[in-house]
Order: sequence, then structure tokens, then C-alpha cells
Amino acid sequence: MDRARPEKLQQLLQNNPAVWRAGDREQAAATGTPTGYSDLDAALPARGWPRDALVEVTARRWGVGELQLFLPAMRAASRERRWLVWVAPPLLPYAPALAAAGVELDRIIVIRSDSCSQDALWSMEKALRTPSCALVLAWLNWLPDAVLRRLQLAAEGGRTLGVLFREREVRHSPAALRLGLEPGPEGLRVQVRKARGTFRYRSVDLDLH
Amino acid sequence: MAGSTPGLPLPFPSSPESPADWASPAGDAALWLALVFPRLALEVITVKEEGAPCAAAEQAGGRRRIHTASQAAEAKGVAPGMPVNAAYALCPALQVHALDAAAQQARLEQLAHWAGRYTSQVCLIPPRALLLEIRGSLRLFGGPARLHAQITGELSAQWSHEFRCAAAPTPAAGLLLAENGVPALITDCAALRSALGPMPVSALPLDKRRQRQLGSAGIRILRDLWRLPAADLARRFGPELTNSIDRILGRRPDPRAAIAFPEHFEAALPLPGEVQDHALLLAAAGQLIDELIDFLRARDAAIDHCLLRLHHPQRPITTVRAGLREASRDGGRLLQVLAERLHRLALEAPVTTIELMTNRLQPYTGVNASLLMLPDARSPLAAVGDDITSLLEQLQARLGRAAVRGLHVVEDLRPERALRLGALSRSSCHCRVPGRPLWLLPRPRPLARRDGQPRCGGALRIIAGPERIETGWWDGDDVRRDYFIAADSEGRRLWVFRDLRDRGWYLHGLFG
Repeated sequence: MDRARPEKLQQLLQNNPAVWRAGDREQAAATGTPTGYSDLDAALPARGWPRDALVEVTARRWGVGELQLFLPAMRAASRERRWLVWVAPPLLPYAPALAAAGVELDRIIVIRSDSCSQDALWSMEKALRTPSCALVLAWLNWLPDAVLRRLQLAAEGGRTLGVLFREREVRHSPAALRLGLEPGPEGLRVQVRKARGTFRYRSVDLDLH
Repeated sequence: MAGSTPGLPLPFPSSPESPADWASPAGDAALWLALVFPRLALEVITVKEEGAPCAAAEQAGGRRRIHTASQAAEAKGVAPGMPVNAAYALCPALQVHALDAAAQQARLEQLAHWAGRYTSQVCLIPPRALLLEIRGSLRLFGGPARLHAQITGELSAQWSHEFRCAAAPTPAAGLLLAENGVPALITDCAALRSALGPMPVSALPLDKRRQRQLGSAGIRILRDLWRLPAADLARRFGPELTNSIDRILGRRPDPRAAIAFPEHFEAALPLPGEVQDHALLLAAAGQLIDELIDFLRARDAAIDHCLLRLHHPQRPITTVRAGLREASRDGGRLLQVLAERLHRLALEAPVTTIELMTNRLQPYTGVNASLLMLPDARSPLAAVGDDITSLLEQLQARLGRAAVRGLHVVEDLRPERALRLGALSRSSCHCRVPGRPLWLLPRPRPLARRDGQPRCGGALRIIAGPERIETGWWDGDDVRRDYFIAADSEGRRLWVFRDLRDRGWYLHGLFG
């Protein structure tokens, strides 16, 4: 019985990504998609954005660099000829700048909706479930826990990366990865507040310009 | 009269045949399939009940006469043309209904439209027959036997009408064979004379006087007619007889007008009782959509929008429009879009009838599937289309067209005009301007000033600039601005400009 247990445990650890050993973080498999910033990749347990999951980004004010953080992911989606969906952006996404950064404008959908409404949530869930969508960026305010869990499941079902931008921090959230962004003297300070695969949270300073 | 008479051609062959078997020596001579529905008049009035004697009667010659009788009634001796009183005497339990010619014609037209899926040339032979020209369809369906099996199978499955069918090179011969219950297939004209020889003369479409004359002259079967010289026949019995024989044998042309298939679809479904439940309405709409898809398949067409009309008692009709992004005949997608629309509709009154209509048909183009089995949807070879189109349709149905937009670049140096949120389509502008922010404010926000320097929640530090944009004099919206990239006290990068006309500082965009 004692000899059988480590094998079963090993199987469990391998097959189920939600179960991981707190101690051996350094041996975690690099299952994530590269973020484009090597410092950030080193700080994340999956060595990149988690696949098919919901990422929550909290920033007190817009414009600190949250879009730049996801520009490499947007470029990757354009290369794979998959679609980008923006749900209820607070300001106008400036098309010439996106085009100059290498993002294909032909495959972008912008849904202009009130960020507190059910329609915006429904649109995000629908977009997350579509396999042809690679990235869904949403700015939503009304998000009870049950809704977040549904969005997380929708992201897994549709194999899409969903990014939720929030203004205020909440204590509990079922998202796979939670980041806090703050502008700092050496660039953007990215704090990992929660990540699947580790309990040791780090923060990274990224120079985006 | 029955197919067991010796000498009549064999019925449709049941073994598979090669194209050489049905090729006509004349090349592209027509092959007509006749479908006769002997009890159509009765079947449109009553529901078919096994064993119940019923008949349809019409007013003819001042008396009510039987027009069509069911099998049970005919077993008792009731025959078409018999007065109704005589029929009652033979069969006291007989139920007699009035003939509804309009319903019969309407059903015949429905059958003709249904037959459009096998051939494009369908002729109506009122009151109870259809002619299909099938030479052109033989290759597609794999031979007359298969086509016959398919037609009869679908007829029995979808329509519960009794029918007889036969195929011959001329329409008149086909009708003759079918009316008399001979399920034969004759592929070339030369075989017609011998094939039709044993049939009785009463099968010919002649009036009673001529039939009596032929009978009294001793002519019983068609072979007797073939043996007589044509000129003498014409002199004694009139030219109509010889013309009719020539048309049957293919010596005289017999053009038949084909029906024109309708260009629009309209179907109504009366609901049992008054319905206000969305789920029930959707189920009923689903039935109508199935009919619509059948119609589209028969016409080889697709639609990009359809209208659902809900009839309320004593209230104007509510119309719901469901649109697709591109022409398609996918019933599931149409139903999904209709479901979204119905869901948002607040019904003020219960619905008694729903009607589905569409009037603009578009040609159908199928999607080419790839032979390569691609397991991964992220492969660049995967066709991006179907699920995104479906997503867009649902989003537009629920949020409205104005809420779902695409991004476009416009070639204009004024920054606010270089961006356009418009309908999703391919963008054609490829200009690249460096140094632009990712976020643009919808309207430039004026900034406070202290000592001539702009402030935005703290002093701003200019990092780069100035970039002078001075343009737009031609449409009255000219701008004269100096743009700078500035960093605020927290480290955010802002795109600010100084308007050279009013010397004010404005915030126009945010980097990142």
C-alpha cells in the first residue's frame, strides 16, 4: 500500500492541473503560452499565460500599460488567424496604433455595451465559448462569484484566454491567475496575487517602453 | 387492366442497372414519369381510416353523383358516377362528403412543389396527376429503378396518398399506363406500340360516344387500333382519335407546360389555443423552419433573412425579423437567431397563428470541406468562419447591429478621424504611423495648467514631441495641434496636445 501510493499521487499530480505540490514549484511544467516578457514568464508558474483560463487584471486607472501587457498575445492570435473580442472597453481602442503594433484589424470585434449589464456578460461568455476566438478582453464591473466561475468554465470549454480588467480588488475570485498592475518608477509593476501552481507570489517590474 | 396481363412490359427492374440499360437510342429523348393519385379528392377531405366506407360526391347533371370512393366503399360496390342514393342502397354505412375542388388543386400543387426536388420540369395534370420529366435526372439519381424507389419511398413516408406511377417516352403514354395501374418502364418509342398493344380501348381518354362507337366496331384492345389504316380511322371516327393515338405513340409532338416554382415561401401554422409561452412559439416556429428548409433544398437556394409574423386576436400583427450574416440554409442557425429575437420580445397579447415568410432567395453555395483531418483548431489551415459567423449573428440579434463593431483605419492625419468603428468588413487602409497611443479618448479632455505647464493629477513631464499636426482645412474641421508624449507623476504615459488656436492643453490618449 505504501509503495502504491506515490504512483497514484504522481498520476493525480500529472493528470489534474488543479492539484499541485506546494513545495516543488521549480519543476512545474511550462504549459502556458509565453507572454512575450521573459521576466513575467519567469514569475508565472505556468511560464506564461495559463491556457484556456480566465485572467483577472486589477489596475486602479487605465492606461498604465495593461494593453501593452497583452500585445504579444494579440499578435500571436493574429498570426494564428484567430479572432480578438473586446467587450465594453472604457475608451476607444486606437486602430492605427494596434495596426502598427502588428495586430490584424480584420479579426477584431468590439462590443460596445454598458459594462454593468447582463448583455456584456452574456457576450463575453459567448465569445469565450467560440473556438475561433483566441483572446477576449473585457471590462466588466458586475461580477458575482458564480458568474466568474461560469466565465472560467466557458474559457476552458472554448479554449480561449479570457482577460477581465477590474478597477477594484476583491478578496476571492475563481480566476486562474490574478494580477495587480501599478505604475512604478522602473516601469510597470506586475504583482501576482494568485496563480494556479504556486503559493509564493512574486512581483515583477516591466519596462514597457 | 392489371399488370398480370401477359405481353405487357415488365415493371421497374429491381436489380442495379448500368447507364447503358436506360440509354435511349434516340439520345436525349425525354422520359416522362406519371404519378396519378386516384383518391386525392377524398384524401384531402377526410382523414384516412382503414375500413371505413366514405366517398366524395359532386353535383353533376342535376343529381348528386359519387366522384371518388374509398377502398372499403368500392368493395361494397360503390363506383364513381353512381347516384348517391344508389350508393346508400348498396352501402348504408357510407359517409358522403362534398367535393372540395380548391383543396384538391392546392394539394396537387403542393405535391408538384415537392416533386421539384427530383426534376425541374413538373407538369400539373388536374385534377389528380403529375408528370415529371426525368431523363435529365437519371444520371444524378443512378438510374430509373433508384429514382423510382426514392420517389415512391418519400411519397409514402411524407404524404399518405395512394398513388400509381409509370414511365414512358411520351407524356400521354405515361399517363395512360399510370391511370390504368400498370407500373411499367418503357425507355424508347419503338417499344411503345408493342408494349401498349394489350391495353383495352376504354383506357384511352375519349368520350363515351366514341368509346361506344369503337366497341360496336369490334375494336377491343389497342392492338386492333394499330392494325387499322390511319386514314380510314380518321374518316370514320374523327381526327381526334388519330391525333390522340399519334400523341401517345410519339409521332405527334405533345408539349406540356411545366409549372413555375414560386420564388417566395409562405407558411402558416394555426396554434391550438392562444399561446403566450416563448418555448411553445419557438417549437412551432421550428416546424415552419423545417418546411422552409425543404423548400430551399428543392429550389437549391438560400436565404439571408426571414420574417416571422405573430397574429393576435383583435390586434395588429407583430413581425419579428431574423437575419443572417450570409445566405445559408442551416435550420439550426436560423432557429437560434429567431430564439434570441423572440426571447427579447415582450408579447402583449396571446398568439393564435404564426406565419413564416421569406421572399428573396439567393443561390446556395456549399462550403468545401477539407480532406485532411485537422484535429487542432489552432492550425492556420482551419477554416475560420462558421462559428464566428454564428457568434456574430447571435451578438447582433441580442445587442443590435450598432453594438457590434469592427475597427478600421482611415487615412487621415487627424488622430480622431484615423479611427473608425464601423461594420465588420475587410479594411483596406494600410498606413502605419509610429508613436500612437493604444487608447484614444472619445473627446479630448482639457487639462488644468499651472505656470503654463499642463497638469493631470500632478505635474506632467514631457518626454517626446512636439509633433505638429495641421490639416483638415478642406472640410471645415481643421486642426492645428502640437502633440507631446508626457509622463505623469505615477509613471503613466499620456498623449497630450496643445491646441495652437486657443493655446489650451488637452489629453487625447493613453499609451498602454
